[in-house]
Amino acid sequence: MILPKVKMCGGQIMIKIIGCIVIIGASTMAGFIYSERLKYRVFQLNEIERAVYQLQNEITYVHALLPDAFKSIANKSKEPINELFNITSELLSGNEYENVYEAMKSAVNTIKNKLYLNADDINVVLDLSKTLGESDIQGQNSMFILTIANLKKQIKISEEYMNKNIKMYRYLGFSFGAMLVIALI
Amino acid sequence: MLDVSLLFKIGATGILIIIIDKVLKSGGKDDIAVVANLAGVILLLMMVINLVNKLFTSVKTLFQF
Repeated sequence: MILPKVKMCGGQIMIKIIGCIVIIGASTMAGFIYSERLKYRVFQLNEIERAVYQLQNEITYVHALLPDAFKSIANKSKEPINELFNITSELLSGNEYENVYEAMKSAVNTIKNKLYLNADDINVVLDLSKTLGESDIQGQNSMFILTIANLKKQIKISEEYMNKNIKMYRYLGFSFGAMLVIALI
Repeated sequence: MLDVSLLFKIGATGILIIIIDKVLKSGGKDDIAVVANLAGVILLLMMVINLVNKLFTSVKTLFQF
């Protein structure tokens, strides 16, 4: 578009420059924030893996009851994974649900906006909860081994995805901001 | 007289489109890179469409007696 030339005074040019900087800064920040999500996913998966190891210990060695076991691993893990186990423990001790799977599912739904995990990652945890408390120690132990193997696979996938995409989102954020500024000038 | 700032704008947009294309391709998102390229081309076309229109009208007036 060719606009008629208008004489601009110093103040107007200053405002224009500040506006451009604000737009570029905002879009760059959006790129950075989006790329942080990938980092959080890896962090939360690692935290869940640690929690599952601890749960295995609680069940196979301490023989703790499930609500107590969940409570104790909630105390040992970090935000927001501790909330997941805390809510599940409360739901189980309140006898609100028939089985562990339903309680965990509702806990996941409650803190969904704090989790940066995708559907596959959540399915791994929910699959574990389907068999918790429904067989002997041997059976649960084999389920733990399977879950940990699956979690390791997901961690590997998410780390590869993070390394590949974290830079891309940052550059893209800046580029779109610059594009917008050029289109607006 | 042609406004030179338009040329600079087109150049800068072209460079940015190349960067976006490279970044998307290195991230393995080839299909989105194609869409971004197309969007860039359309953006540039919208920038120059007034000039093209002007050119056509001037050629038309040239052949009208």
